[in-house]
Amino acid sequence: MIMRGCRSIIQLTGPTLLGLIFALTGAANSQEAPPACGYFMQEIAKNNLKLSDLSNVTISVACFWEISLQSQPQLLQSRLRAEAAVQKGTATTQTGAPTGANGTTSAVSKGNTPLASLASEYGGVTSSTSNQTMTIQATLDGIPSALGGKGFLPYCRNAFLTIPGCVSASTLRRLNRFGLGVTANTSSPSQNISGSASTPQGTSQQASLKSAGSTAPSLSSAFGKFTIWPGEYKLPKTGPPPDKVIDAERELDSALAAAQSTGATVGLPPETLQRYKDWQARCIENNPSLTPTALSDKKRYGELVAKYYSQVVRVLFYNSTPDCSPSATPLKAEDATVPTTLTPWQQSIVKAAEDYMASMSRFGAQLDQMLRSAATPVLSFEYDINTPTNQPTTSTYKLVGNKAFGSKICTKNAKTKKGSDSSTVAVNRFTETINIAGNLYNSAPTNVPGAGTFRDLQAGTETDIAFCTSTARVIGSFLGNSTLGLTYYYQDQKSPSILKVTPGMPLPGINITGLASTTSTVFATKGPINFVQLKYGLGTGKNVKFPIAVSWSNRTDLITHSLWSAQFGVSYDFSSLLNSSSSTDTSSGK
Amino acid sequence: MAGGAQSNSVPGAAAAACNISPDASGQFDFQVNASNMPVKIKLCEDHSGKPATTSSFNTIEVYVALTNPAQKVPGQPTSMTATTASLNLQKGSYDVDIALNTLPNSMVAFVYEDCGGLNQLLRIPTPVKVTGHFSLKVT
Repeated sequence: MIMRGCRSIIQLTGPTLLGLIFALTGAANSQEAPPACGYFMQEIAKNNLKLSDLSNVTISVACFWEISLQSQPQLLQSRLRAEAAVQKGTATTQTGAPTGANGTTSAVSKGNTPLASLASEYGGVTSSTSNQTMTIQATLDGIPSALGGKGFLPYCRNAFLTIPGCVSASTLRRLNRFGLGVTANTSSPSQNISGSASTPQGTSQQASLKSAGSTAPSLSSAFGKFTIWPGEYKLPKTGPPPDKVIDAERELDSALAAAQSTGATVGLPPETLQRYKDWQARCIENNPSLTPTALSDKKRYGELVAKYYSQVVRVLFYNSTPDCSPSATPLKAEDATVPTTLTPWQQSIVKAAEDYMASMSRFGAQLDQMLRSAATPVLSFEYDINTPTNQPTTSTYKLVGNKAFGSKICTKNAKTKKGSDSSTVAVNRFTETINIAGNLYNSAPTNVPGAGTFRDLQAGTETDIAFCTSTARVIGSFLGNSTLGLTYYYQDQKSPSILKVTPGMPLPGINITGLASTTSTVFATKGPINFVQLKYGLGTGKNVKFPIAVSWSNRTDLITHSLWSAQFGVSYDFSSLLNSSSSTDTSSGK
Repeated sequence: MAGGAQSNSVPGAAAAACNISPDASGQFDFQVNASNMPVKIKLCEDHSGKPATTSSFNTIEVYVALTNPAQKVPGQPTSMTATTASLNLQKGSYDVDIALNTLPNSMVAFVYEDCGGLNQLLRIPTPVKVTGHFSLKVT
């Protein structure tokens, strides 16, 4: 019964299945064009490129590579590894701790984060005690971006370049939206120690000591940033060095030109050159089948490539005469692949094509890394978790807006000692940064009168004015450009600041007399904080930066009277280690 | 490699004459009379001669043609901005190598002679290639 049922299903669906098999076979026969070849056809149909661009393998090298060599990605990867070299780069973004961290020099957070950086700062904005902090931060695209830029990973800059195993530009753009960092408190004791002393022995006394409280690493804050509205990409004034790409193009030109002598290892032998020119003229440039209508039909790209373009592989590597007739049989993918056994002049073509693709991959990765670094986000979200010493942990949720404006300055390249152009030039005169944030206690204080989970509301604005000091004689090339920043920050405390007290254990930097032995929590008088800061940042656009600031506030989180303070720091932008190109910053920042 | 000259006058454009023309011998892409030096070139976004916005010159290098290894001509171009450059060459034949910086949305970059017409010297398919060159004979 069951068998009969099955048979009837087969009988009923037989014609449908046959139709499906036919359709699938047809689909299998209609080859898909490699993306780079499709791009050429599309642009020729639009009259932006010409058929002579497609027929010149030096120009259509990406299409040629995708047809003939893409199936051997190990060749390209070995070329990329051969190109890997350490060069110099830079970026300018905030490298220090977020506002809430003790020891920060910044009252206002910046939206973007460098590829990777390390900053050491001394100061504090709303904290009552000054501290030394160390901040390390990076964006998630840092490592893959660096690997692509150095040639350790193939890089696909767009959908037209499809190198197997590549890291794509779109992936890195998404990863670049995320930045992470941690700030460690380096001046306060990382752990408290308590103990008891034994009986005195003369003037000396032995003590038995042990760690008190948490033994976890002393991080004063950790933060994450997400770019909601990315900044616009701007062309750099000086891009990555294109020498390798230019060399590869010349190499390819020579490999496809006439051989200089019989038996030369570079250049086409006369008969092959004749067939190559014949293919160019008959199969591509004067082929009546390659009409704008046919070339604009995406469904036909695959067929046209397999029928006419792919024949260049047979011409160059199989000594074939091109068949450019409309009845020519489309070549199968395996028939358009470069064979494994090659003559020296054929090897030179393969090497030149691989070199071009490898150098393009690396150049594209370096250029895009510069574009991402220079694109200051317009709007970002930042989350900080603050774990200050002897205080309850808090979370800050912050919106960061950023806008560079005004005329471009430093448009002339600064000269380095070697006489070559320095990389960082052309910044906007002004940059405005605005922060709005809410700060919450991670657990509601239960034993503090008038305290709730919502600790404070914060708002800040910073106006930066850039100065083109990089062109100054003698010291300019060392200092880079500089920035003068004026900051106003307001904090409306809804809940008082709280100190956690361990009986018998002094608070670092704080001395309170008259505390009862049972007191475990001390809270201060709450009130609004107005903070003004003038900051001078040396080294805009350089890897090493030195922010120096002087500030005034009407009070701090604990102290209720006005005070002056100073902040300073030094930071190093590791982008130069990760990037393998000399870069130009088109944004301003500090 | 070169684009092949397409000379069309632009209504209302500056009246500077176009001096670069296809090389009559066919050995080089273009030719120009030494008396017309310096010649200016520009990078354009499209066929209309609109200055490029999605690409810019990275480097322009001039080599003496048919030399191996290629012999670079010092001091060329004599001036260069993001989208324009000026060449001042003596009699001889040269290869002009151009490398671009491009934005991800760039589709094709066009190099024209910077003159009263639209004299196309080079097209660069920027998504798949960032370099291009043309040969120039100075007579």
